[in-house]
This record gives sequence, C-alpha cells and structure tokens, in this order.
Amino acid sequence: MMLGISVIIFGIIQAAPGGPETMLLQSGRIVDPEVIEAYRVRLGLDQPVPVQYVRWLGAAATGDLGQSFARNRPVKDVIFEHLPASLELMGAAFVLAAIMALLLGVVSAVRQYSWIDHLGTGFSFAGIAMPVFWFGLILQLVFAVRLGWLPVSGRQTVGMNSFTDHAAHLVLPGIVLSLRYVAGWSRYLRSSMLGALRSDFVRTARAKGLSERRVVWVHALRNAMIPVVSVMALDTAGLFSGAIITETVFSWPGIGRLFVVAMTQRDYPVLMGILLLGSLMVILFNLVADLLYGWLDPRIRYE
Amino acid sequence: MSVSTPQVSEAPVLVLEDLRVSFRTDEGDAEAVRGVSLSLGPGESLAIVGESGSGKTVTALSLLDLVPRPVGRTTWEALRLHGEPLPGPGDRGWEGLRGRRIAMVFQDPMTSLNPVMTVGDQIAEVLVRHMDLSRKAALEEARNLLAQVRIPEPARRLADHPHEFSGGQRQRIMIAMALAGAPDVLIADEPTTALDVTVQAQIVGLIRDLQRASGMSILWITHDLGLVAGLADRVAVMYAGRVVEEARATDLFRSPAHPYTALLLRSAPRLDGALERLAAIDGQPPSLLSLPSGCAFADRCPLAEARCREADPELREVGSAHLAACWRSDEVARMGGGR
Ligand SMILES: Nc1ncnc2c1ncn2[C@@H]1O[C@H](COP(=O)(O)OP(=O)(O)OP(=O)(O)O)[C@@H](O)[C@H]1O
Ligand SMILES: [Mg+2]
Repeated sequence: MMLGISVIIFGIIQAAPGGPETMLLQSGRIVDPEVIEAYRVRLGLDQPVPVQYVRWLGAAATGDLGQSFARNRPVKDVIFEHLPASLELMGAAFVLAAIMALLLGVVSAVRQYSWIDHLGTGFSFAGIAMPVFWFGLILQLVFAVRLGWLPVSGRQTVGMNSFTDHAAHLVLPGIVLSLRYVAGWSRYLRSSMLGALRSDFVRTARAKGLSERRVVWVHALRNAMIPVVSVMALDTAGLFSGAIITETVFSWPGIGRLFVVAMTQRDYPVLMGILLLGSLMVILFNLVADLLYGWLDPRIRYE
Repeated sequence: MSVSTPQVSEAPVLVLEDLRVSFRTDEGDAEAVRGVSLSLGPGESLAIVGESGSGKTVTALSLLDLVPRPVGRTTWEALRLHGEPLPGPGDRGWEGLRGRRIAMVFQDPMTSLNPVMTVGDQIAEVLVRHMDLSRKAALEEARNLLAQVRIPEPARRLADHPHEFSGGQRQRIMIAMALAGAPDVLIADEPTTALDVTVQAQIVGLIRDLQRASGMSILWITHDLGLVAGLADRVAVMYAGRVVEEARATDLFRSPAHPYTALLLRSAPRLDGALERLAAIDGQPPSLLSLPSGCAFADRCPLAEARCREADPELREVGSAHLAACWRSDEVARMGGGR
C-alpha cells in the first residue's frame, strides 16, 4: 500500500509545472542557462523520471528523504525540527475535541430536543460549514486583538519560555483545529447514543436499579463509543492536513506551515517527505482504528 | 403438577389498582393500558395472558416505573408492596427498588444483556448496588448465582461476554441477575419465547425451583396458555389494555367466563402439542387510538349483541375468586366447541 501511495505522491509532484530552478530564475540572481543546468545535475533532476523515482524510493526506504532544495539540509532534519510543534498542536486539538464531543454528544442524546441539543446541532452545522481560516481570523481578532487575552500567533513569545506562555499560544489554534472534529464527532456520538439508550440492555440496566448516571455513562456509552472511536482514529490522521491552514493562520512553526512554505519555494523533497509522513499516519491510524475496534468490542477477536 | 389455591387470606405482596398508560403517537394518544388492577400473594404465581399488543409488557414495566417518558404517560390509583405505597410514577426512590424488591427478566436474552460487559460484572453490579458488597465479594457471589442457575464452570465463565453463551444460558444469566437482589417479586416477561422448546421447559423448571427455594412471588407474562396451565396459580387475561377475566388457573381452564378466554382456550395448542402462538381468533384487536365506547371485543365476539356495543362491561364477580368483564358471561359455557 505504501508503495502505491509513494508512486502517487511522486507523480503529483512531477506533474507540477516549474522546478526548483524556476525559483532561482525568479530570484533574478542567476540567468545563465549553464549554471541552471549544472544545478539540475547536482540535484539529479537531469535524470529520467523513473530513475528519479527509484532513487528517491530507495533512499526513502532507508530513512533518507534527500536534501531540501531551499535549505540545503537533509529533509529528515527539517521535518523532525517542525514535528514537535505539530504534534503538540494536534495533541491539544485532539484532546479538546474528544472531551467536547463526548460531553456534547452524550448530553444531546440524553436530552434529545432540549435547548442544549438544538444548540449542539447548530454548533455542528456551523463547525462544519465555517471556513477554518475565517474562524481563525475571527478568534484572533476578538480574543487577541480586541480583548488582548491571548497571543495572536506563534508558539511562544520571544525570550519567554514559561509553560503558561506556551499554553496561552496553544489555546486559539487548538480551538480552531478541533472545531470541525468536535462538530463531527459529537453528532456521530449523539446518534450512536440515541440508539444505545433505546436498546434492550439499557432497559435491563435500569431494571437492575442502577443509577441513571451509570446507565448512561457506563452501559450506553461503552456501546455507543465503539463506532465513534474508529471514526476518531481515522480522523486523527486527517488532523495532519487540517493543521496546514491552522498553522498558517497562526504562524505555528509546525509541519503544516512548513508544507506551505516548501510549496511556495517548490522545495519538492520536503513536500514529498511530508506527504509520505502523512500517508504513513493514515495507514498507522487505520491500524489503530482496527485495533481499538477489536479491543472495545469483545465480539470481534483477531485470531 | 399441583396448583395450590391462592392464599387469599394472607396479605398480598403486591397490589396495583387502576393502572392507566397512554402513548403519544403521531396519530394521537394510544391507550395501551386502561385501568388494570392486580394483586399478588406471597409465593404466588400470577400469569398475564393475552394477544400481542394487549398491554402485558407495558403493565409489567409500569410496576418498575420503566415506561419511557414523555412518550408514555402512566397513572395509577395505588401501588403497594407489602402494604407500603411505592413512589408515584416519575417520583424519586425507584432506583433503590428496581432489581432489589421487584426484579424483571425480559423476553429476548440475546439483546437484553450488555454485549461489551462480562457477565460477571453485569451480575456483580446488582450486588454492589443493592447488597452493599465490594466488587470482589460481589464477583464471588455472582459465581454462586451462576452455579444456582446451573451454568457449568461458573468461576471460569464470570469473565466471559454474553456472546459466548447460548440463548438458554443467557436467559439463565438474566435470571441470576434478577435473583441477585433477592427480590420479593419477580416479573418474567415471556422469558422463554425466544428459546427452543426443550430449553423453554428447562428455564420454566429453573424459575419454579428458584421460587420454591426463595418463596418469591412471580408475575408470568406469556402468550402460551399451555405453559400457564402448568405453572400459574391464577391467571389474568388481557385484551386491548384491560383485564377481561381473572380466575384461579383451574377455574379458568374448566369454565371460562369471557368469550375471548373461551376462544383462546379453543385455539391454544393442547398440552401435549407443539407450542404455537395464540392466533386462531378471527379479526383484529381494535386500534388503541380510537377504542369503541362499548366492549372492545364486540367486533370479534360470537356472543356480541346490541348492548355490547353500547356499554363497556365492568369486571365483576362471576364465581368464587372469578372475575369477568362480559355482559353475557353466563352464556359463555354454552358457546360450544370448548376443549
Ligand atoms: N414506547 C412505546 N411507544 C408507543 N407505543 C408503545 C410503546 N410501548 C408500547 N406501546 C404500545 O402499547 C401497546 C401494548 O404494548 P405491549 O408491549 O404492552 O404489548 P404486549 O402485550 O406485551 O405484546 P407482546 O405479546 O407482543 O409483547 C401496543 O399497542 C404498543 O404498540
Ligand atoms: Mg410484551
């Protein structure tokens, strides 16, 4: 599977017009075609496409993703340098989304058609329909610029390295990145919970005299979570691409912003490295989803 | 099988007076239960019999205040356990009673157990809730209960999930759960309908043995008149949300006083025969949305006459401890074709 994905990634990048040399041309410093040709040879771009692919793949398999055109450093180093910031943001967004979706989903189901359920429905539509960059800008405007409660962007204030400063920077991008997942997961959990609450075993749990809290949060929720958890695991890989816009809006020094920068610089090795990493994540979380499913649902056992 | 006389002299364990339940539906209010009264003596077995949709399950659920709200609206005149009034519908205080004083076994053991919890935990949580046991002690006791309901290797099976048991075994587990709170009253809502014939007999035998050992009272709900003959002291026949006849089992079988009962007996399979569902009465029960002003059975009744369509007969005494709601109950015996 990884092999197929690598071909596709490579193909897409090759299909893009212009090459790294265009950047050099645009910079206006180098105009001599011979210099450009020498540059292409050095980067291996004079070779036929299949040769380039095999070379790249062979290297990638050993963990070598090549040199960044723009930065003159190994792609691997560049990516690893930006990875912690991204993982931090994705982690924060995931935890936030999971907690919010859990509360909203369960309460909306238990109090079906109440004001909180309607609020949740409206919120979910907004969360899915609202463009991420627009929502990000609004939050920046309100909470950072107008109210001044939180920093506008970046990962930390220059010269400061406290935990609170760090956390304050994380709040807005975390909320923005989590929004659509809160929206999606809470609706999904709501319908799953509605089904569970109507099921016979929940009636049995009530007939046993268990508290309503235990009936809802243990008996119904454990069953309702099974389909939701696999969706959550699959979506987690998607956080990766969701982070691109969020990181750009908030100048968050992570992989997403690196991707955008590399794109404007036509730094193909970096782009390919990131896409490969993204695909790895998708495959990894597919596996995680399967494992979680089997772990949560005792009726499924992998032999 | 001996059928003991109901202990009328002894104070009843459970008394229900004038239960009414209606459900809000898109087409209007469906009156599922229309004034049902029941009483259950100590150690007594009362069977509720009736066609599908006659309100048996809703009546049973009302005794635990488990009719879903707000779709269902429940009222009753009185509900007493050992003479003490139970909380009203929707009041606080039900949680401590459910599974402790009154327990229920449901129809479908395949869906009535939580599929993602071990059976040990599902039994133990009743004991933790009501019997003040630690989880460890509760699991120990759960093992004893599994042994009581004759699950082989109970200690090992505590950690298994419901799907690892057969249908009959799952119903045994449901019974173990119901027994865990040592209830005064056990409601068994068609506990054998979903099971094979041979397994049915085992489950019925098991519940009867357990009743003999514990002295609890049982409310049996069933379609199956054949089953009723063997295990009930008294029988209440329900039709369209009402009790239309109530009598000692022997009296009911010998001399039914309501045409509906008589037709049920005629259509019921013989004791030696296969256990079929009651079906063979012509016509349909009336819609609960728009009940006639007269007797609800009139349209299907061979004895129906003008007054039956005008006024709904009250349940009245037609013999010793024998009640029937029919204007012409005296003539039922001459309907002919009984068994
Ligand atoms: N939650 C509900 N919402 C709406 N109507 C309901 C609900 N529960 C029961 N009813 C209605 O109440 C009536 C009585 O149902 P009930 O389940 O008590 O019948 P039953 O005698 O137990 O039948 P069966 O033998 O099929 O179990 C039926 O018409 C049913 O449609
Ligand atoms: Mg029923």
